Amino acid sequence: MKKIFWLIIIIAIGLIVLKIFTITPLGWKAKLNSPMGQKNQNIVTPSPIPALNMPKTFKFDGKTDLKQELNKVNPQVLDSDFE
Amino acid sequence: MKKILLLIFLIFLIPSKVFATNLDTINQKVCNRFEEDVSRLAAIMEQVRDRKGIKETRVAFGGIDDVIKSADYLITFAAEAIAYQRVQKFSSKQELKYSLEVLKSKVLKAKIGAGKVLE
Repeated sequence: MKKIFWLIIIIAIGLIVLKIFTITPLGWKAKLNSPMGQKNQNIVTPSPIPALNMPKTFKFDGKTDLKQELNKVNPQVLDSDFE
Repeated sequence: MKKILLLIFLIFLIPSKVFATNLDTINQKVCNRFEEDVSRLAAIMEQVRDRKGIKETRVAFGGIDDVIKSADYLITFAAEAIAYQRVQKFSSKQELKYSLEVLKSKVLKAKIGAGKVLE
């Protein structure tokens, strides 16, 4: 029983390794002109996901009270940040 | 014996990982706040240059005002310090707090520099 179990495991590992070598670009089918291999040329590069909680950016015009905006700049390290 | 050792290892490893993640989260949160401030200062300086009609980004043969140049430098310096702070790893709250206080002083210097321009 144990022998059959190990035989199945070995076959499964062998199949997985075979799939890796046939499908992925590291396999024997990868070509010099295309590092990804022909099968993978239609893969669309995913666009970067915007980071959560990105800091705000600002744009002012000629009517903005710049001194008031400057007063809004108040960098603080609060104790509540560490709770 | 092995199980006990593994248990002890897990008891010490997991909290330290969780703690490190928490410190990083705090670091990023405060850096985001400081970055907003620096972004506001940069927008103020951009508007000052627009209003004064300054288009040069480099000083050549006595080009732009020294006060504006100094403010721009301080704002850039603060922005770079924030970027550097983001990638740092801290092992204790005290270390992180000290580092953030130093960063706060840099942002405040940038604010003072921008304030001199508006005077």
